[in-house]
Amino acid sequence: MILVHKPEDRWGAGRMKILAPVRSIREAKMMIEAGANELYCGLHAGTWKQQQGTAWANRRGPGWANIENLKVLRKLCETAHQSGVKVYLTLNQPSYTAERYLSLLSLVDEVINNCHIDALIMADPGLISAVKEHHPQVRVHASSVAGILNTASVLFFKDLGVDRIIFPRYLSLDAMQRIITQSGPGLEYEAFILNDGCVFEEAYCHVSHAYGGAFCHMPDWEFSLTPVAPELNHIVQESFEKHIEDYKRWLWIGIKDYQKNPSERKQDLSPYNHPLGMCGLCALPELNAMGISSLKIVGREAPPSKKLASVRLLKQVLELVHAGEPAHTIRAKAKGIRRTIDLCLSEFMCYYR
Amino acid sequence: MEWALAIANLEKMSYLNNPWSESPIMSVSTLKSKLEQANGSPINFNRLYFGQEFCARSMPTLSQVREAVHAAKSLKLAFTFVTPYLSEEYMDKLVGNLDELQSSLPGAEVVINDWGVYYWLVQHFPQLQPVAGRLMSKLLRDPRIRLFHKDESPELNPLRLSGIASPYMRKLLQKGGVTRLELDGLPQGFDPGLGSWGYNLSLHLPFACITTGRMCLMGSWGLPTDKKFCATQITCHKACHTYWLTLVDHGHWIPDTQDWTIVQKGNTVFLAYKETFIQSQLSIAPSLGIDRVIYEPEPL
Repeated sequence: MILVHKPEDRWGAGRMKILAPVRSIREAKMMIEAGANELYCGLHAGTWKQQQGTAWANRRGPGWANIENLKVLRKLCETAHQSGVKVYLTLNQPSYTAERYLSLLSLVDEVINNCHIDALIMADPGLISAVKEHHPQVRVHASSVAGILNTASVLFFKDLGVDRIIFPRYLSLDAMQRIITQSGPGLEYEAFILNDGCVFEEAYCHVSHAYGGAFCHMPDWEFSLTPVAPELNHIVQESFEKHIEDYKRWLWIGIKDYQKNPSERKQDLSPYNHPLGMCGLCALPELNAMGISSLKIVGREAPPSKKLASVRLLKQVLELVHAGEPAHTIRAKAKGIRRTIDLCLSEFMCYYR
Repeated sequence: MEWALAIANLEKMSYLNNPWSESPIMSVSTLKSKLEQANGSPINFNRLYFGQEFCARSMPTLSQVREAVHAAKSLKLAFTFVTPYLSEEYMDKLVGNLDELQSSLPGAEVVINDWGVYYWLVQHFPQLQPVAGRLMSKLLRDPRIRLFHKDESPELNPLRLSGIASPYMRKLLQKGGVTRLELDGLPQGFDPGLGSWGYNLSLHLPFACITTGRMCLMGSWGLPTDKKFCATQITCHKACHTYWLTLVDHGHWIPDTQDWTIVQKGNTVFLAYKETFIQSQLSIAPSLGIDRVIYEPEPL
């Protein structure tokens, strides 16, 4: 059954929790040891690939970033719960076909009966309705892939029975604050804090990474400007070419983790062993003040070293927040710890700006 | 078949007088001829779509909505207001537009592409008719599908299906009075059982949304470098009204085809279907249950 509340939680209410991605029991132990309070994972459900062809059960490939089976998931949950850490399972494709709802419901039955998972992360309102109808006690987190960008959307998902809203990337801090204030009590909120970015809005992106990776930052896109009516003069053309150079630099820093082409390995860590990629550490004081309860480290598919470095970095800065340090001190210290001043100044690495 | 003309913003209202004016990215005269062949008769528009699905920054002002409604009334066209997905900052503006629409044209259609907009519309504007927009089905529109699957491969079948046809989603949408669903053309083709999905169906032509986001490549152009590529950018000089981008993949991940080109306007990447592909889609549309075609000269 679903565990609703756990009195042995490592941190009390009001403290932002570190939510880390995992794909094995070994990783779970590492993250917990480093200070993660919550874990999330996907499940490679045996027959799923066969049933779905190239479609995925969650936002990662079947054999790539997922827990291999229910037995491992159960053991992972037991391991986490012994430390007072919660485990959430992703079933967060933006949509599943009607036929898949049936197999997913049976998967959810198995997960609930065997694994003691703490919540399901879902995006598809139809699937959420189906799961809540069959298992009203299940805690549901509305995925960032649900595209919840406004208060009315929060209220829609609240009516479906969700317990936590995961804000999509790049919402403004003001918007998040307004949404939380206006949506009333009874919900938890989760925000992105470290690692991957997205060029487009996940909820409205109609491509699959299964087809050769991310469509938006394939390395060989050429962008040609075509005016609707007037002729294109060389000043406009040069300005646009410079703009595309800036765009590719933004992709390189914020989205691709310094990977110039697919054959090149992403640079996961800085020379100071901190994760590279998108970052929201400077916004921690505001996120804390507005009532965000959980901070999401992105990247189930990332190597364990990057996940571990992410938890450690976040914990280090979060301790400053929980110690009541002033916002400007926290921001200065976060940048000092990272030691990537040029990147911080570029703002191309910031989730919240 | 009902034909609707979609106009994204007031600057483009000249399309009302000349919907088939030429475009720098496709031959509109050829397209028109193919559409008329598939339709079996000249095309007469009897509905105006105003607004667009993709950009909250480009959402029309109250006076622009008023003007568009006036234009539709004076030409005796039915009216559909198209709304985008939108972050909290833009909700007040949207609600103002819906207020205006409900008082000036009760019964008008409103295309929703955001669950929050749907929720608000149903709760507060009972005299407006919600329509599920083309961003609601979540059907893949990835041109790379054609590299990975052969034309008649059974693996394409699940890619033609959507949870929006499930009893659970239908119930959610029926509760708010949704009876119509809009679709983009799909590289993988439509589900032959589309007619049993439980909706009246509309098809957008000639563009299909591949992907869209709040960060705007074109909207960032001209800003100081540290302000570029920021999803929360509010001010916008509307470069998307003036320029198209044509995207070419030199890495050959996108199949070479005569069926489409890939273009970007503002914050959104589209498949721009070519005439022959459109003709083939349109010729089977009635048998799939599609009873409305929305022609958009420019999607943004």
